[in-house]
Amino acid sequence: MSEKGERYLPEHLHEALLADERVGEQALDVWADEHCIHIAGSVATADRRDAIVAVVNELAPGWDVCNDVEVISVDRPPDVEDVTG
Amino acid sequence: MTSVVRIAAVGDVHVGLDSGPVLGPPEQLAESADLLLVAGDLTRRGAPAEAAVLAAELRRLSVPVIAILGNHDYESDAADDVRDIIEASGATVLDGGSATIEVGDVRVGVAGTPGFGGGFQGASCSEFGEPLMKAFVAHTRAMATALCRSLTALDTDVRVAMTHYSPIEATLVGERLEIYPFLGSYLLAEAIDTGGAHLAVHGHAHRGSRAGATVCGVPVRNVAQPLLGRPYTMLRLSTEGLADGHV
Repeated sequence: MSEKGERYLPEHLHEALLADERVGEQALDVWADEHCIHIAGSVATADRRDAIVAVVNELAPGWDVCNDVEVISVDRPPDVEDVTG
Repeated sequence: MTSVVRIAAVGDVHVGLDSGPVLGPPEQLAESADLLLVAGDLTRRGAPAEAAVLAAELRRLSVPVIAILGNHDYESDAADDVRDIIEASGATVLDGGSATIEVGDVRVGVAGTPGFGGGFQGASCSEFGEPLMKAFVAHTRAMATALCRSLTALDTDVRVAMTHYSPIEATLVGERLEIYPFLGSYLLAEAIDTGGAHLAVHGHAHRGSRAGATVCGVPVRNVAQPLLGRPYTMLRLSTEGLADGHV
């Protein structure tokens, strides 16, 4: 990939992570610094979190991946709100 | 007589083949809720096999379930199949229509539509220019029109509006301002106000805010599961003092 092309790499990866059936998540932040592709946000399962690294490695070989994506926890008990209509 | 309707609500469960249960223990829901609303993005990519995973979980629930589809449920061009599979579990999937259930002596009406984008007052898209731009806004307008019509037709004690996209900006705070037009539309809020809803719930905005209200004061709750961090939220709506008319 050209140096100019690399400037758009985060957007291409963002699209790829949404389109890839192993991930399929839109609400991810993707950015790059000189050392690493950074991914942040949340996904529903650990499998999807792990797949993020695989997708990035396939599309951007040679880049390190800083995967700060969290797996959404739904372990907390439901909260209750009285709503006045 | 005053009654309280207990509405469990969640959206954006994004169920895939790799998902475990997303709604918590069925007995917990049965004890605490009168109905469950699922505000779209039932699946990760809209695949029928993914819908079947959620349907299996819904089949174990004893409370009425009313759902709508979200944008993820359209991804595989199999939305009709997704809808059929979810409905085969006993749930109702709304697409501009409404459903009525009875909770004791209280009749609860739910009108639902996925909705769509377009933005909010002062910063919204218009039906002008390129055919694609017109189609974008017209699609939202058609969904809002159906929502308003369904709400208006509900002859129930309680009227709830359910959308996937947001009707207001307040429940988007936390998302990037630049993407608001893709997260909702004021046309949905206008439908909710004009149709006389007592409560509105939506999903889609994982990083948004929990609570807001329309300009006419209808409470709006963002129930996206990534935002809740729990299987669902419980909204208790008292029938005391509810307006019985439409704007």
